[in-house]
Amino acid sequence: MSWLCDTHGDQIVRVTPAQVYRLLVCFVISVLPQLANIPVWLAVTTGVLILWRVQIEMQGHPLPSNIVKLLLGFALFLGVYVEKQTLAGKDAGTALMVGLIAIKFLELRGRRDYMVLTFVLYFMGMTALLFEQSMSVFVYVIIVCSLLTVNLVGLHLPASEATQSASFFTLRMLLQSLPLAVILFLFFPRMDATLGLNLGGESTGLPRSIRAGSFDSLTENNAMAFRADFAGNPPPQSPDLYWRGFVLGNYNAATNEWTESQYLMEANLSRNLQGGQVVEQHITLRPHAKRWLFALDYPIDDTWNGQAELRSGYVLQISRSEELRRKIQYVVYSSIGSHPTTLSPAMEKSSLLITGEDQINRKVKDLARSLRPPGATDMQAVTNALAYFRSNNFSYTTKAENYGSDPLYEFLFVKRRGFCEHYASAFGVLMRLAKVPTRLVAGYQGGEYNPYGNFIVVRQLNAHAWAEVFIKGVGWTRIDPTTMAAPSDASPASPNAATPNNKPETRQPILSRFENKLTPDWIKRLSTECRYRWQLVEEIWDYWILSYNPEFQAELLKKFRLQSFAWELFILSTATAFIATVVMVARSLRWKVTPEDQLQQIYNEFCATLEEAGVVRQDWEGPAKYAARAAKVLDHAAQPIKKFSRDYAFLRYGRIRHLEPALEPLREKLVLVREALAQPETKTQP
Amino acid sequence: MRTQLYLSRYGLVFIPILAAMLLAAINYDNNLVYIVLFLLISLMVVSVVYTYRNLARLEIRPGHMWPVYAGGTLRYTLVVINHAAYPVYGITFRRPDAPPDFRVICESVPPEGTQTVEFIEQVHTRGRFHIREMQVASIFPLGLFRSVHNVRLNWEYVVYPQLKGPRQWPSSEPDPRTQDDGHFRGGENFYGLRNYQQGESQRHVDWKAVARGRPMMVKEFGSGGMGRLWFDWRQLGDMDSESKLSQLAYWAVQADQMGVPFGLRLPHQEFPPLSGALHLQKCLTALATYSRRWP
Amino acid sequence: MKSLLDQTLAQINSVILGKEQVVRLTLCCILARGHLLIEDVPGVGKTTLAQALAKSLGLTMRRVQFTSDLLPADIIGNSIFDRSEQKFVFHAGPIFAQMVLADEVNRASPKAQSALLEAMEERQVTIDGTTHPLPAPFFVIATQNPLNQVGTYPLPESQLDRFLMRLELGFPDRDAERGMLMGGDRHDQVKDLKPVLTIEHLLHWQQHAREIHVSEPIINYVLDLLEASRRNQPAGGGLSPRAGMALQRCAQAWALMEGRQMVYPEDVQAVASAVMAHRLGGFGSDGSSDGATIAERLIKSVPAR
Repeated sequence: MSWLCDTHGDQIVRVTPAQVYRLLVCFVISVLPQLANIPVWLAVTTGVLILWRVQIEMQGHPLPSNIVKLLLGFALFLGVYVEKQTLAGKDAGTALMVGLIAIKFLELRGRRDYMVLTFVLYFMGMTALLFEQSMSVFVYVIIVCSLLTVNLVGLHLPASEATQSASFFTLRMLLQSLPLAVILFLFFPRMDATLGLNLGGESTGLPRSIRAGSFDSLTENNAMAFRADFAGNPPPQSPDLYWRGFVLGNYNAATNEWTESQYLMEANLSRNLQGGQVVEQHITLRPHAKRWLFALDYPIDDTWNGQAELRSGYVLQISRSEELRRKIQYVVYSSIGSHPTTLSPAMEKSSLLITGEDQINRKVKDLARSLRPPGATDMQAVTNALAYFRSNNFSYTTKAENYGSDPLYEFLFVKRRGFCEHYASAFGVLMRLAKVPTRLVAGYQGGEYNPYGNFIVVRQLNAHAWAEVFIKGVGWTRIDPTTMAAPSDASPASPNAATPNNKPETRQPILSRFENKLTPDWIKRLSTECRYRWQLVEEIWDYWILSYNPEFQAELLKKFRLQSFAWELFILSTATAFIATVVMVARSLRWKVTPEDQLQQIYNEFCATLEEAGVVRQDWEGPAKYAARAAKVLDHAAQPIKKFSRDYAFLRYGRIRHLEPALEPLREKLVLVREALAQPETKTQP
Repeated sequence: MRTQLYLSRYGLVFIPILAAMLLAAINYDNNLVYIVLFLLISLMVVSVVYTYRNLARLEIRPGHMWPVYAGGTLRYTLVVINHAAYPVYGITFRRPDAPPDFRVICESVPPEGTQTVEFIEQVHTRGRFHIREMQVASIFPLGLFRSVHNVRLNWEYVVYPQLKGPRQWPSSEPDPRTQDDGHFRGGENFYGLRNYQQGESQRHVDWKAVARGRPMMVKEFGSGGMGRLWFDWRQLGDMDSESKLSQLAYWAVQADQMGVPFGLRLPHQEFPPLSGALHLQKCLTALATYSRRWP
Repeated sequence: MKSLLDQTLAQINSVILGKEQVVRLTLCCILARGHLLIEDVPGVGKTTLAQALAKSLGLTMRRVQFTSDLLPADIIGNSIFDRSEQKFVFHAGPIFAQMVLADEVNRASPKAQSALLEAMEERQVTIDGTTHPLPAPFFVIATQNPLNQVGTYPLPESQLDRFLMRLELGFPDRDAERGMLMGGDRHDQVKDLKPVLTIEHLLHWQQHAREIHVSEPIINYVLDLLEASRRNQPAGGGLSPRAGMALQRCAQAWALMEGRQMVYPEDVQAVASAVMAHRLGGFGSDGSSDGATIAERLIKSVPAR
């Protein structure tokens, strides 16, 4: 491995101040997306270190000693540990990486450090994509990589041409590398993500349990939760747009909290659905750090290529005990407008259970009793409860409020306003008290329909909770008590005008109402238009880039009946693309080969052939002498060797007008030499 | 000229980073990371072509080499000829047998252009040396690969002894035949004719020949006899041999500059008195390659 | 034509035993219209070679023995007042011959040497304002004793350049020497030689040799050799441009003798040692320890094109 040590004297190359500044700029740019993830003191320290490095370069000071760097490194580790209580994990890792790079800059002196730093910065820039996969971040990362590459190319150029030529070279190389990159992207076999590494990720989404205030953080959150595409079919009408997430079957009266329950196994989930119409949805789900997937009520089968299974309660859940940390896309079929029909005794028992029932306020119990007078059916109880909400001036609010120590009582009898969780929770408790089998369902409701893309965008503020009661003869029936609060827009007329979460206009803050009045209509329309368009772009992006997963790849291969050759195809196509790239790049670089060059090349091949046979040409040796010597040694090929060299020498040293036509015969003679050299071996070997 | 391609040390550092990206991409099944990774890999592949072509159409022609004396600097040149229609950047030169900090770089050669690269090395000992080959390499544009080709030079050069010595010139020996002990050209015997050079004294111009219509020639008078000035190893008996060689070389160069014929006697060799570049070169070479174990 | 040449060579080789290469180079030198310097100790057959060559080529030959008291006039001739005609009559010296053998040139004074060399260079002799051209094929073979013999005036470097080639005969090997001992008197053998070639042949071939194609790579190769020879030279040594031309001319002649219409690098190499040695000082005691001459080392340091 001697070439490994051989640096061609690179170790003595110093980098110029301009190059240092450029790399510092690249550093700053690549760190920017992470700025929110690192502690403030580290950001400040990094800034100071960068300024210090600039000052060192400008004043020509010597670089700080190893002890200083060691102390800084130690301080960094200590600081991060104190701040995060760990040195592992996403935040600590990012912080450490940023800090260490900043310290590494303090010993940036030679080309080696420079190159290594550049490579590390490539990685640093890339990490932004682990946290956020939007198009803008991607473009940003590509820009960072390009800048780094420009810088890298500039390192090997004379200073006078560095910027311009380097940009030109980088651009050209990037363009030339695109086809191979695309091929690699398409055919590189995707593997299941089972490496177990976890850097963490976004975790906004539905809470795990429902109690007063658990939805507080979502009501104003405009971030996208998922997007549902209907594969060319018209989307379901608004009343059906209930995106089922998970089922909350346990109620604890002590904490007024609904939690997820492991229902007993329900067999034949899909067959137990009655009525309804099957709707296909392609859902692009953002990471939410939980295990459930969303679908319209009621999903009828496993999805995400079997990675998510349909569990009892018609809940889609990731099979592995792993949380969703990345954006995924899956196809799911739901039967809308149907009712699950099973209620096993065990299910019935758990659907009526209230843990710590004696903690419930007496007035609430009285109310429940009044909702179901003796002899009344389950259905009547439900209707009474809804009537209670409607007639007692309940209203909807997005403001988080303090409901005191007994939020259930407070909501039902004092404040009489709240959001979906309060309604659903109170309704559920009342129903259970009234002995109607009830469970809560958390998910999303509604969404914004994009007419250009025929999809619905569901945001976090669409988060919703509703109840399901079991009506004998019908099955589980969805009851949304929140709709009782604001009858004016409880059922949006069309998906086109779907407004989030049934919030009446009146609940908007005064300022935004004021704003709305002042904003001319056309701007509003324009912004809506822009939003739709942008969503469409995002949709395409998600569909083609983000969601190119093993399933899509398999489908693509299946289309061409190549599914069983994934690896072979990958190797083959990559090799082809590799060669094609090399050839095309080489050609595009205008490799002008004169006949004289070709002649030289043929002769070089001839020399290489003879060298393999054991006759090495001295470089001062002329062709005739060399051939004579070779012919003497390689007796069996003497004739072809002499013929070749005679012709070659004639072409090389003679007075030749048109060299080109003579090259092909010469090549044939070379082939003869090779054949002659190969022959005796095959004869003697057997 | 065969150009070889190697992964450079930097490329070797880059690969683990790509591997880390691959791990991240697989682990998170993150297509965007895949894209960045594949783009970088493709960039690497494309850069191979650029690295290769940076040297592919390059011709390295041996240039000049200046004479060197021990303790001085060896100076030589190579001519880099770019036969390509594109500029070529960052060509480094390296001798496999040179110290690690030996580095000469030719920053750029314009398309179809030529660039002379100068090499300067410190030389400490006299003797005959070789520059067998020069490694021409380039890591342009990304530094991930290194294209190398070896230019066989097979240069042999002599480092002449250091020119120094405290001694005065030895007195010249009278020529046994002519009794002539003249030091300088300009004796009485006609030596020959040579072309007149502009600005020279016209005292010795062969006017007769000019009158006959011949070009201006200068009559040179020599001291006819030979063997007046001998630089003899044995004259310097009390010095150590390196100093002796330096002293003799110094005298020889001085004598040559003054145009005085001189002879050189070494323990095993003898050069009869002559003048001229060839003679000087032979004497200096003998001094440079002198060794006690001769022959 | 090649057969004629081979015949000539064979005839000379029958007299000069075991020196095929030297004989070949000698003929090459003639074809390249150059002059030859043979340097060796007495008695190895320098004179015999010259005589055999002259006989075989059908050239008139004169021989001048150089001594320390030889005067220029003894070589080129002089004008003597002829009483019968009442005017100066030019008496041509021995140099007016197609082949001149100048034996032991380094014994003569520089004056005499100069006269010879000037005539060689100009191919004419000027005496008292009259120019006398020398015969058409004009070929000088000068012999020289090795430099370190006592009582010699070595040719100055500038003069050495005028000889196209310099050769050494060297002692014959054992077989050749045996042949000589058994073969009888050399002089008688030389006398019995018949001309193989005519002067017309020779002139024609000399002309032909000039027309041998020298391709671009060969020119570059010669230039490389010149450049290489100039490296690392104190006081501006190395091959002169004239040496480069000499090299090319000899290579052309050599190619012609090989029966080719173009020059190969091998041709250059074949003549290189003879052409360059005396211009580089690669003979005698030059201090090289490995025995290879400077010229050979030079050849091996320059890659063929």
